[in-house]
Amino acid sequence: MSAPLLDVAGLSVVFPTPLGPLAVVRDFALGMGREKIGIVGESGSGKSMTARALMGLVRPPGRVEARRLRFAGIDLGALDARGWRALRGRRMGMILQDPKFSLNPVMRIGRQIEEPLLLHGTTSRAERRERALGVLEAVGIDDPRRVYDAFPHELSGGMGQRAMIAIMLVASPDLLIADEPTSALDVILREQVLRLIEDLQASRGLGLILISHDLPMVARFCDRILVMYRGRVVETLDARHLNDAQHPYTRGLIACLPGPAKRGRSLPVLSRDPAWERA
Amino acid sequence: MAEAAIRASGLDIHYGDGAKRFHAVHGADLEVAPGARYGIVGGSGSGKSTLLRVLAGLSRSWTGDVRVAGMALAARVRAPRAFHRRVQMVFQDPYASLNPRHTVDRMLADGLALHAFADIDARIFRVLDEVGLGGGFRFRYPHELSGGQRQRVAIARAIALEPQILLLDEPTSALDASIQAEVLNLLLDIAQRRILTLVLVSHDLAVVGHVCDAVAVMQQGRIVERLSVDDLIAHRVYHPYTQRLLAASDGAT
Repeated sequence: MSAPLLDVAGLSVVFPTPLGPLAVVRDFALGMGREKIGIVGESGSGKSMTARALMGLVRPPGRVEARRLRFAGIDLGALDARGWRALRGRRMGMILQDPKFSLNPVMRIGRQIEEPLLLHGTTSRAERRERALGVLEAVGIDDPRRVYDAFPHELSGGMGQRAMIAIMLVASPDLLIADEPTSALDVILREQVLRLIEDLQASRGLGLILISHDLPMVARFCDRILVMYRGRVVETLDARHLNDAQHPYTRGLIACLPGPAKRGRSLPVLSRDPAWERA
Repeated sequence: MAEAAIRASGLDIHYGDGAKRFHAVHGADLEVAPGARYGIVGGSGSGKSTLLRVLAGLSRSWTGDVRVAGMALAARVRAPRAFHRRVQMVFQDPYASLNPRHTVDRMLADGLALHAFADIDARIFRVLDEVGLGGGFRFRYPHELSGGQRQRVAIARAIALEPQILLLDEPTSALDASIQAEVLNLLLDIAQRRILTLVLVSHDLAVVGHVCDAVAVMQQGRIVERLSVDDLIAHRVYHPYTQRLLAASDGAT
């Protein structure tokens, strides 16, 4: 492969406010191949807005600016709505937190999985059905035929999230962005869904961006981690060396987690330094 | 030996009627000593929150024997007001559990007035101080508060009534890690300062292990194992489901 999968520099997302323009993402940069990148931060850190900008989903009056914003050699900054539609769902997909809100409640799962194929030109009905059933099996659903005909409310949280992943995978995207894909799931389901995403990433050679507030979880699954604070990446870490984190914010995020060694004792809390917000 | 703060035996809980009747909790037995910090862990749908709601006197479709805070609960009957003074609950989602049209002051004052407390003003100031908010928050509305501040208000509302038992349903799972640490510190402070029995429901073993001394593990409506947190931390667990929970969480801690 010549061009990197994603090549981003100087990405900002700006919203107008009565007090002047507010940058909720500032000077974001990322070059990635078919690897697993984690973006970690607290609520309001700009991690989801970064994902939306990469997917072309920032709505006006929000504005995306970037020195460089390229996906597989395509200049995303120059795309019109039609160009975005050709990419989204086919070459880049996104999984959101809660399947209850991101699946269409009045459409059978099978139809929802087939929709990207329909939009991107797979015409034979039989072929669409076959691929939908295949992808349901690939995401570890034992009974693909039942789920194919089911409505979202008939599925549990874990099954719903698998169905979401199936929808995103059916068009074989190159880049998958997962925004808190397991936060609505309990620990056992969380492990299963993460393993599934990990297996699919490896077997299909996807680029994966995993966005979460859960630093240890991201560290276990990703190769590199970007830590965001108030719209800015404050530290980039090799996931294997989480304990070498230098930035006081990252160190604070690790220190405040409960664990056997701190049992029943007061946990360290973050004291936020205004200097962290400056470049 | 003092009476247990909570004793439930043969507790069955149902939802719905007829063919759609769902048996949510099967024959649960539970005993929590006064002043204990007890955890209930399990996956989604294990029945842990359903069980907690019965202990809080908020559910009526159950059978069995339940004594909480020295009072026998009766199924299908509304718990008496005095019961709710002794037993208070804090819910998971601080965005859903506070009335958006009421100020902090009104939320705290209503409970205090209902239970005929005197010197309500002084109590509101004291309890807002105790949860680390201070009197400046008294006339704020929920939308003016962050998630962590809302959860502090919910805790203030619960402890303002000086309950004997505080029931907590995933009190920190909607919060960021740094805010979770602040709320856990607050809960442990309160438990040490007051004479209080805590029951904490969570799917997060790290949180339960941090706060509690003993836990019950629930799976599909049944308590499958009871153990001390010492044993949990040392991985001295026997039921396969507890082992799975631990394995999944170990990755996570």
